[in-house]
Amino acid sequence: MTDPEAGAEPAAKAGLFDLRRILALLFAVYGTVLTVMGATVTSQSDLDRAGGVNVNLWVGVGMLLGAAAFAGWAALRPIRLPPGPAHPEGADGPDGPDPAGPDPR
Amino acid sequence: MNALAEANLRLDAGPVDYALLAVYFALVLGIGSLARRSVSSSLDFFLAGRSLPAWVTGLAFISANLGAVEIFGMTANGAQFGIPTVHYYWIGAIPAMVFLGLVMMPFYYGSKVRSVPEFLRLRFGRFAHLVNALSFALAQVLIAGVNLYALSTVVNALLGWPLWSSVLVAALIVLAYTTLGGLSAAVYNEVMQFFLIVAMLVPITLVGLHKVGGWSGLSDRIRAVNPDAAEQLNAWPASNLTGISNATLSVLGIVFGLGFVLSFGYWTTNFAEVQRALAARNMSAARRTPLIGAYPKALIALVIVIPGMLAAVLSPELAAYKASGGTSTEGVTYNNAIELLIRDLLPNGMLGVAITGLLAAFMAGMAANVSSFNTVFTYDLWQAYVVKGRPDDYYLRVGRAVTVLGCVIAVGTAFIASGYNNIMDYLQTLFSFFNAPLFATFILGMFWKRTTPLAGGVGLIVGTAAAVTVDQLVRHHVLHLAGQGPSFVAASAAFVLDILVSVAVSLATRPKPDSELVGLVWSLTPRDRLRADDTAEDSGWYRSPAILGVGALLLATVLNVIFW
Repeated sequence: MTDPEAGAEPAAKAGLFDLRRILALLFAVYGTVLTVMGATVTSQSDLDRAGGVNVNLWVGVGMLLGAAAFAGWAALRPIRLPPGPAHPEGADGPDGPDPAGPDPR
Repeated sequence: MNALAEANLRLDAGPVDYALLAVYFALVLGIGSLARRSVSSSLDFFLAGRSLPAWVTGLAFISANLGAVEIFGMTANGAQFGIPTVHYYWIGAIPAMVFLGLVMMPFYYGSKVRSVPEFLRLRFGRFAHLVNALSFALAQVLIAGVNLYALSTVVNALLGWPLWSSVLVAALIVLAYTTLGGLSAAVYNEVMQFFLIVAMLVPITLVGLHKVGGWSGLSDRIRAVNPDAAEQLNAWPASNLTGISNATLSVLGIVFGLGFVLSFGYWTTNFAEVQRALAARNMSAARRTPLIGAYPKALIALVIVIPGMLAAVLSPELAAYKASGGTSTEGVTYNNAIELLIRDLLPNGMLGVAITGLLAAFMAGMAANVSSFNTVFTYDLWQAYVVKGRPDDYYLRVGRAVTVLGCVIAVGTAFIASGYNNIMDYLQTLFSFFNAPLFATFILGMFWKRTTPLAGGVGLIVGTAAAVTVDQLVRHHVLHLAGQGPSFVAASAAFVLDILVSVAVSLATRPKPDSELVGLVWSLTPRDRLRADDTAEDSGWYRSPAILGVGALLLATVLNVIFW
């Protein structure tokens, strides 16, 4: 990922399209749903089939931790757009795309 | 999949499960339309503008392979053979991935080729290029069909939809996001799929182990019912996997057939994989792509193979099937292992996550095939031979149209896959036909400058013919090999014959002049052209390709020792 200190130019944040934020969103939603289900509607037969483990609760909590980790990573090291000609979001390296194909030989 | 199996496997999915699935579909299509905004040239569409960070391409690198066919095939192998299945990871993937990152990637990325066949065109000229581009494009649409078929069986088990309808729906979703966002959309979705699959497999493994009484409980249950339990509980010599009863020959078969020929052919020359690394933002990130991927690849073996073993003891149906020696034609087969665990262990909620994870794996696997197919078709067939010299936006439009074509063909080939008991056999057969000779030709071409253009093409054809011949001899019971043995032998024959024929042809024909081989052949390429930048954001010892590579090999070795 991009180092915050890399590049002295004022770099714009590309907040919208950061895959880490999408992963955080996905697991926040899934984690919340599973945690609530695990805490409220887990039946005895659910517990029996998993050998007594409340699967939803444990996985839900794990997913919420995962979501927090992705969100934290994205917040600590945000994507910076490379300086120079505007390049759409998604890129986060100093080397822009290289439009050249191979040299014709 | 017969009617009885369908009824057995129907999952008791509730509204929450469907809601979780819907959230995922919304994100997938959202990523597709967001990624569309970054597509303004054909290179953006086919190689994500060479702009992605290494952790993204690294996870996509293994995720492209971690399709549903892999998950079903490898849990099936886990249920049938047990621990020896790990060789597909620790022997059959890690060394090849490290080799790709350390040795071959500098040539691929440094020569600025846009595809693996294009490297062959620069190195060997049109003959070898055409042979490879055509066989690769054909293989990819066939494998996309396998992924689609596997998906349709799961949707069938889940929703009871007829196979053809789920084939069409899945193909439409994949089509939507790959035509919109190109490789970026495919790669981002592959990374998301990777984490979903982990979120599905880890709980299944832990809950299953808990239920069976831990590792010792699992071992005891396997010993109780299997006369060959020792083979199933130890990685070596894997006689049950190779079908070779002599222990020494079996180990040789694994190390040379699977570990060297089959896996190096697959991981280092299969453009569906290499394409992810070519999408990395610079040489350093490209080299790190397979190396970063190697760590999760080594570890994920545990949560794929162990669930397979668990299914064979926890599920009475699968246990009965295994007790029958895998010959019962009623009900479940090894391929149902993961579905049985999902059905028997997981409550609603987690069930939705598991269903989503499987569907994500199917779609990501198919998207990987389609996104590599459209690149090779557009750059290596259409632009190289059919309509040359048009402006770039013409090829971008062709790429989108070919994506549609690829999905249509994949739908057609989905039904080819239905004729095989173990999908993995079918795939390995395909790989050995196309991939095994390819690695031989690449390695000769990269390290022996004398290798001539004609040798490149003839070697590939003879190698492929050798693999087909071995396959036919086995199918018609001239050669007697069981298990995965035939694909190992076919791949080895392809490799050896390719080398022999290529060397012979090279010595009889004229090589390319040295000046045309700079950047393509080891001895003629200045070392600094192969070196990656190690400053700024590529600095740090933990980003050094050599250290990452050695670390991955160490991890695989330690895991091998633990499960010896």
